[in-house]
Amino acid sequence: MTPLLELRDVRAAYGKITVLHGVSVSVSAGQVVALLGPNGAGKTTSLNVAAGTHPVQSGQLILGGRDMTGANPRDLARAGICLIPEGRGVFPNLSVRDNLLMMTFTGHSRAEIEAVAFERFPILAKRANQPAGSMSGGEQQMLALARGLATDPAVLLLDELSMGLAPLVVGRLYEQVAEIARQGVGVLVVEQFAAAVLGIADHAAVMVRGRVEREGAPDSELRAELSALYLGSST
Amino acid sequence: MTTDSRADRFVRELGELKIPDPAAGRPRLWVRLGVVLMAAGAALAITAYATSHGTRDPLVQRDALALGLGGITAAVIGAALFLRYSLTGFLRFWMARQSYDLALLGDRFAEPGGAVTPAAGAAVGAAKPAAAEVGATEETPDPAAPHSTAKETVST
Ligand SMILES: Nc1ncnc2c1ncn2[C@@H]1O[C@H](COP(=O)(O)OP(=O)(O)OP(=O)(O)O)[C@@H](O)[C@H]1O
Ligand SMILES: [Mg+2]
Repeated sequence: MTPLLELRDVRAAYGKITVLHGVSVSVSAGQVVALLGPNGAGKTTSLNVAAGTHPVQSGQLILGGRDMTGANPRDLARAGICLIPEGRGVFPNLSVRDNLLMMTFTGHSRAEIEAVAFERFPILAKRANQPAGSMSGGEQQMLALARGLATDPAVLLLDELSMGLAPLVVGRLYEQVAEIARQGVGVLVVEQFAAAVLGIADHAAVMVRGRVEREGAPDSELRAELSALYLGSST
Repeated sequence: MTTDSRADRFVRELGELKIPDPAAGRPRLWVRLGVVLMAAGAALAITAYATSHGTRDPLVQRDALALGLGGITAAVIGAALFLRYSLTGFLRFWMARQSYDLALLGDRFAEPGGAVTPAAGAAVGAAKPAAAEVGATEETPDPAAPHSTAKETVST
């Protein structure tokens, strides 16, 4: 099966500073791929390239087997690429319900969006009239996911879902992510700390300083190498 | 099953997309055209004035009148183009700024007592729902709700 999303030998820069030196990753439908690496490895930049919001210097962005390098990010989002950026992508002083209401721009009705969101995250139904900013970090992240799901994504790009959350909460969030993937969505997850996501990932790539240093099944061997890479890169 | 249909639809929709020319600096072009039209409109008005005063022939003076009207039209269209394409750039920045401020405000409410430690933050998060539910019952979920939500939060 052709992958839904593929970065092929992508180089990308901020101004004159190249931060991706030939990154290749691919995600198929129903697959969870973890993109790991220390601070500044270029994980977020890779996601932005995948969403079409950061230009490439060379290399290609292949979607569904078609070269879409340079496509308009708006069009890509409409076709089904959904990026949930780092930090909590919710409007803190709008209620949960209003946060979801904003997603009706996708053409789905409010009822449909709430049905999907509240079925997957029942806690959001209880918090429906509460300002999103007053919920716990995990609940806000659920709301961000629910908002992403409202776009009916084919590919979901997640940036550091676990940031600032307790391990238990992270585990539960990732269970939901695995469930989303089981329904046929291709998921690319960026994480700095691997433990939580490796439990659900089908494939993992480890980035260091703009290069994919290691790639493969998330087995114990990869975990071992991962910690070595982290230690090695800090010197 | 569902897998294939969503993925297939994704591929199909991508197939219909056109990839834009990377050298498309169109907004700037429109702004420039707007400026040129405004200048041209003013120039036409002056020319028309000069023409109409340079002759006693009423036919020529009426031509000048038409020319002056053309100048107004050009200036109005130019102004519209200029505003349309320069304001969007500005408003985009303004909106980004606005949502940043809102986020900042939200953060302030998330820690009313100036709580800094994660544990204290969590406790505040747990205490907050009760306060929020008071306002919850009378809150009508309509497009105006953002304002009412904001006000209620402020008053607590
Ligand atoms: N807007 C920017 N302008 C200039 N340089 C940037 C910008 N954003 C990121 N960089 C640089 O690009 C490199 C990769 O950044 P990126 O955000 O992709 O890393 P990351 O792997 O997501 O890191 P983190 O785990 O901290 O989120 C870093 O060296 C960073 O300093
Ligand atoms: Mg990052």
